[in-house]
Amino acid sequence: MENLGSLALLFAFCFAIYTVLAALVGKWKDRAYLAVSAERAVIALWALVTTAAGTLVYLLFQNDFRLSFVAAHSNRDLPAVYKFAAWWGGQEGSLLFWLWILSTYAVVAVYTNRRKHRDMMPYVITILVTVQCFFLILVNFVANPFQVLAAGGEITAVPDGRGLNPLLQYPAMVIHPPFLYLGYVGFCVPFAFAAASLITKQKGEAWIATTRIWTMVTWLFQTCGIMLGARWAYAVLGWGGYWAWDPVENASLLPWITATAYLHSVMMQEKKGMMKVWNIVLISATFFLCIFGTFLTRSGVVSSVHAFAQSPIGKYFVVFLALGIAATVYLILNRLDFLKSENQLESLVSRESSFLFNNLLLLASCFAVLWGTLFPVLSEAVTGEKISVGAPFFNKVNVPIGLFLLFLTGVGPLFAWRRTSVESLKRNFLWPSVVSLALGAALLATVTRNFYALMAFMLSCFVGLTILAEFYKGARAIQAKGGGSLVVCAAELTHRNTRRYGGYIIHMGIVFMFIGFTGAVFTSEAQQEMNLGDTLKVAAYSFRLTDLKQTDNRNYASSVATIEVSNNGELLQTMHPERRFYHASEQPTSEVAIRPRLKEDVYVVFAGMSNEGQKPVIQVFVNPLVNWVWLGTLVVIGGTLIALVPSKVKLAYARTQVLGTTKKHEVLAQS
Amino acid sequence: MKSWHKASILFLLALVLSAQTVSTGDKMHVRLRAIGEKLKCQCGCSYTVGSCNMLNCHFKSEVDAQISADLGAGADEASILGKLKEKYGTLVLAAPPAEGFNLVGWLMPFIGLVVGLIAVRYILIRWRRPRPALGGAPAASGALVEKFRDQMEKELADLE
Repeated sequence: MENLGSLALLFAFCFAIYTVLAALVGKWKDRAYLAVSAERAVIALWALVTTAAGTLVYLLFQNDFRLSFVAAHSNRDLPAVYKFAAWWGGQEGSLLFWLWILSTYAVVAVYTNRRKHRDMMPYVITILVTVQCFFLILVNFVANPFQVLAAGGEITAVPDGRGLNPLLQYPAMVIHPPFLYLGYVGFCVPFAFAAASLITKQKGEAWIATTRIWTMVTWLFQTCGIMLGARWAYAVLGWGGYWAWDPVENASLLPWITATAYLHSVMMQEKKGMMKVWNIVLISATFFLCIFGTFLTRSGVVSSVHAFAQSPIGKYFVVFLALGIAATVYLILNRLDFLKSENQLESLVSRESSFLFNNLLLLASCFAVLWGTLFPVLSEAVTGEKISVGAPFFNKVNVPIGLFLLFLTGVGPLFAWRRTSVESLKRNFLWPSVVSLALGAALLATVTRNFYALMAFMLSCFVGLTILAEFYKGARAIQAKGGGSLVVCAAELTHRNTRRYGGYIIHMGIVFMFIGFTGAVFTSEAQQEMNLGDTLKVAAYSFRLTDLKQTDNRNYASSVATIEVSNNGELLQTMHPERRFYHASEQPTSEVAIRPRLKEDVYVVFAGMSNEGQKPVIQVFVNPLVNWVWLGTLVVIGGTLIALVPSKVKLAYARTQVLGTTKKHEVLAQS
Repeated sequence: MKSWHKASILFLLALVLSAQTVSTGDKMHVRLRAIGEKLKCQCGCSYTVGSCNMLNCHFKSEVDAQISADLGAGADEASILGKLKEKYGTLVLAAPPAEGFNLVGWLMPFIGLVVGLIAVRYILIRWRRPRPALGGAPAASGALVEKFRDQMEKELADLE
């Protein structure tokens, strides 16, 4: 069976080369049959990669431990859902997963656009399939998932596999990598269209209109992927937090930041014909950062708990990145004449400049994260001394940038295009400013003197109010015309311009997330070895250990503690943190018990048994406001989905620029 | 000054003046945790010493004991971190000290931001430079330009 998978991958590699050649020759020699053949070859490529992927999944379910990949990442007693997830649980399988998603995306992109963009499609196919070609080289010749175990020249099998890493045996972990990959890989498509538009010297914004929904959906997948990863870290790793600024976490954040900058700056091109070069640079940077993130996770360049095992694939990524970046830079420089701005700025206080500053801050943040992630490698190369760059560095650099961004989130959308009057500034910002200052003073008096926490709460309040005011004003205007409740009118308002109001909802989600991030300043924690009946106090809560049970199943053995949580003598909840020991991998894990509330989470970890007295060690965190992070994520998802719905009122105005008029216009305007 | 302005200012002043220090519980534990957050655990967990939850983590236990002893003896944070750096090397610090080549590490994000600001300023100046009107087209009257501008503003405001 493994031969079928291997052959499918080899054929896919040959088909990929054919596809690129057919697309290019068809275009250059104007041979329509070759162009059509290239389009069809994209489907054949998908069919072959799907065959290989299906074979691997089949072998995982068949417990075929002759395969090195199956033996290393699965075992007989692994639940079926995790056997499926083992596909992306290891290096070779995850590369095949990357490839399979890309080949699927390529089919969708080609077959939804082949009639619309005849000029661009051969180049779109070439770029998408070249990336597939690169991954086919990896899975065929460097990290083949169908390698069999051999001893003494004979194929052999082990009785049982080592099993999937226990930390990955968690429901969110089954969907976290697919979402992240859907996001990572998805940016190949807008990049392919952008590059094809440069190659074919397109003057218009066809590539942007074509890839708008694609980019937003991809961004949504990436957001979900990152936040599912954060949720997994919070609920599984048991250290009380959700973001450790680990290099692999950073690698997922980098393309998300540039994609966010792109989603903002692309509006400048759509509405004003400005920032054309910048948008190409941003979408290219996003694509290359996706590839860079894949490289970082797999090359062993930086150490991380999330990284795959070290392998020789790093150098292949370096070559691919270097060639890709060089070609893109050349293309952009060569096509600068086609990317000239069509408009000019009238005022510094305008939506246009707010977009510029928004992009500057996002890019500064991206650069800071990238720099901090790579600086240990650079420093060791220069000084020979190993150093760590962790949370203190990233927090110090990124918190102020993040707060500025939050400020712009509130201010930017309320600036008018072209110029904003002082009156309008006063009208929009006076009350939100007064209320947030009052909140800041109240918090300073009663809760905290932490500068950043105060700023975060004040800015969150300010931005939240400006957004609510926008909905309120719009809904009141509709109500005044047609009646109805404010909520119905707000829904109508949103439906009339889904992009604008969906965007506001996304911003509200970001505000909620900032509130959640700020809660980390107020975390309390304690750890104690406990006998039955012992009590541990943390913040306003008491934790009493009342029972300890042992259970066992084929996958793992576990100890479950029963802990009563009370506040001022009142029993709030009984919690059951668990310590598991997985038989196949011989690894222990902690299953955290969480009592989630909007105000704060009570987070109880059964850390293990103490060395001396065989007492359970219980660790407790009280994490204020952390649920606002997850709530904010849901709001961001909701806002993005709304922004994807077509607006009820079609608002497609031609870009206008007043340069001069003819007599005919004068007459028309006066009539 | 309007009465609500006065009332708002008085309210803010009263709140600020009534500021009080919030109780932070066990100060020793808080300081131990704060120092631990500045140290990188070497057990392979990739967290800080303060956040490492590896049971019986040899490194965390050792470092926590040392920090507790030093805090008990009245040492300040800087001297404790200095001692630990001497013992375990720079790698133990969760962020590199701002000295020597590591200073580049700290400064570069801000240099990047400043360079970005300069670039933004340059772009804004270029964007503001007036362009010549289309050849042959007569200049529009002020009122007409305003009329089109207002219309454009309304349409743009509806868009995003």
